[in-house]
Amino acid sequence: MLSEENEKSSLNEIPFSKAGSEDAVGLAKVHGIAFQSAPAPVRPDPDLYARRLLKQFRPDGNTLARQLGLVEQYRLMLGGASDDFRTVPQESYDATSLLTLQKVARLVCESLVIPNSWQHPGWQTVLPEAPANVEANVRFLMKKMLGLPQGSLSSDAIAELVAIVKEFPENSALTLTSYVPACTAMAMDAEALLL
Amino acid sequence: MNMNLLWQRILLALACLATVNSGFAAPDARSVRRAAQLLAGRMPTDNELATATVSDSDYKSYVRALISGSGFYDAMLRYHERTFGVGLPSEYLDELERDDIDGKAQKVATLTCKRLADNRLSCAWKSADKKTTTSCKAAQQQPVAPFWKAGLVLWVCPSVSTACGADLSKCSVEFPNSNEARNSELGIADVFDSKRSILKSLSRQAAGIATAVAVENYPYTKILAPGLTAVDGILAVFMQQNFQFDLAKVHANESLLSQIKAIPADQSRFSLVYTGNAYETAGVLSSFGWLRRYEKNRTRANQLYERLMCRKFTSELPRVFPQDPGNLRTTPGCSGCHSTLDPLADFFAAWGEGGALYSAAGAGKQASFAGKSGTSLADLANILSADEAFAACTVNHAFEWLMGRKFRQAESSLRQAFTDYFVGTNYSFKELMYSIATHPSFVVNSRSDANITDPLEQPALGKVPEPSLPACNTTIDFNTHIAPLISQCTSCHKSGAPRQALETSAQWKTWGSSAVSMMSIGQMPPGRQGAPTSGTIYDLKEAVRCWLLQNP
Repeated sequence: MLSEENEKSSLNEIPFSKAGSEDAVGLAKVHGIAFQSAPAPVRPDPDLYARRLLKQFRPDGNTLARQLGLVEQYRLMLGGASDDFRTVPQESYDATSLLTLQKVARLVCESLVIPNSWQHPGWQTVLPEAPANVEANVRFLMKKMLGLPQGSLSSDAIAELVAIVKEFPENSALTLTSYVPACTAMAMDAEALLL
Repeated sequence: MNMNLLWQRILLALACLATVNSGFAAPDARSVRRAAQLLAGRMPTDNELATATVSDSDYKSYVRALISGSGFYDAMLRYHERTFGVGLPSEYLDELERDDIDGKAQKVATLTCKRLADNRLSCAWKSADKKTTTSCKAAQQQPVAPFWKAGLVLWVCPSVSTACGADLSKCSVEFPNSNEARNSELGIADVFDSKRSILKSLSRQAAGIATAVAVENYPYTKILAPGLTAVDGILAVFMQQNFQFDLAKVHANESLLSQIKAIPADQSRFSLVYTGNAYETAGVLSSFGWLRRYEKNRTRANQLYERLMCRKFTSELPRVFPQDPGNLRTTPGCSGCHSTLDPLADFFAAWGEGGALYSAAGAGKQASFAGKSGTSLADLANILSADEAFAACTVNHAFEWLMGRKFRQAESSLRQAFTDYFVGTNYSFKELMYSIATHPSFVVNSRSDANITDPLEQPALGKVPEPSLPACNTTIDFNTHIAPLISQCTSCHKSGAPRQALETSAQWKTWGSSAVSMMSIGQMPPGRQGAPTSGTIYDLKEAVRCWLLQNP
């Protein structure tokens, strides 16, 4: 057992000098040469996206691990790397990918918006307002999931997402479940669209 | 919920969200978000967005903070996992288990842990027939504090705590819910899976070495440094289970085994460990994960050619393959690749292939690459890191990670400028990332196609990366200027020693170019601290360089 042995040990010093630091003249020279074309949109890393999204709202622990286990089976279909890096992940984007993405986004959104005590013990909904206060809840989700500042949220997009929420009432009233489709829309490749 | 309606609405919303692009009011916010995602693996906070978009210098300060922050390690670990393609099938851990103590194959003491009806988390021996057995009553069980999560209490029989230690670090641990166990990160969950964790750490060790080198701002060439490796808490635990695993098979020498005791079991990040110069090792290239992931010497050569030098073996295949092609290095149709690939593969000869890894340890072969020769992985590391293609390839990877696309054909001067800057900062990976992420063309509000139809050609081999060499104004005479200095090399490089002798002018004529390359980047003599800028080694390097120039 590591601590019981009480052995004094330390890591040897690494016998290499450090690399250099910023060279303003050299940097100016590099920055003086323009790129031929703009950056390409970056696709979110399918191995990390669900974890990062969930960790914005949820604490680390068993429930988070179990939730990630639920979406694990879809990772390869979204271009994720297999454990042994031998199975070639799907690179193209087709109808199956889209459906898979929707499934993953939906699973993640359900755990965020309508967690239940059986699958997500100890978790509460992340929505800050009552279900009837649709715009405030949509703004909150957009800001957190898309990483945009409040002032940059598009009014058209907000209106569209509010309309989606209102289209899915339960027994003529808006509930937490009504937010799942709108949340799913935001979670689906939001980063790829906007980064 | 009507699924068709749901689906239609989601697609409509996606189209609507996409329009946010064109009307995005603050162009810099996109760059801030992109930089935060790629350099720290997270979205920026409101405050960060507000401050980083005020001015160019605020944005640069923000990028600098991202590169200095804790998220940079995680982002770079992922970058290197992808760049190196690391990963191992689960059965590879079985190879490392000991079967040489009493002839019985099963040596791993495995505990299975689960939560009982009284909500106690309990661990018990797993018997050979895979059924869990307990040998004591609940009242006799003792609480233990497992190493993988602070504050957690587990209940075990006295025999378990005696054999496995009070933190269970001497035994293998399993949880029935494998999905939950595989997604639990060290230190945060009750569940833990030894096999999964050890394999994950072993397989990403190469990425861990490179990440630690980058984060600690050592010259990036040190990812290939002989004697350098990296260990995290799980590997430290694993390497102290010498009664369960044959650690010779992961090349754990005494220095390594001694030093890892300083690494806490719950440390999730890799720490660099230097075990002294060793000619058979070369940083990432001699890590278990790399050697076992790429099982054959030709595969290892091919992968490093592609992943570290960004070059591919391509050849016109013969229309009809001969039944017995003979020597692939010379046979027409084969030699196009094999004349380079096979001598490169020979550098790995000492390691053994596949499951026989390490079985041939010590038996080196005369090998060559890019016009330079050697016998060990240390020689290969010196050749690779002294070649500008290594620096240019690192620039390629970093550029693609941040830009989402490859270099275009017309961007050769751009890649050269980044390469010169990278080399000029003594291979600072952090500075390379900073230089790209703060480039005016990175901070634009438009996006282009990721599919490049006119990619820049692969980096050329054989060029020594020294952007500003001093002029050779003095005429160099071997006996006057070089011979008095070669004692720096001849203690190892002498006749009869395993190293190439460097005692005569003829030998320096043949090997001088390689020696200059290695001295230029601090790879030689062993134990150097970075590239020499003055002193005896610098004088020797410059004298040999100029002598070779003046006497072609």
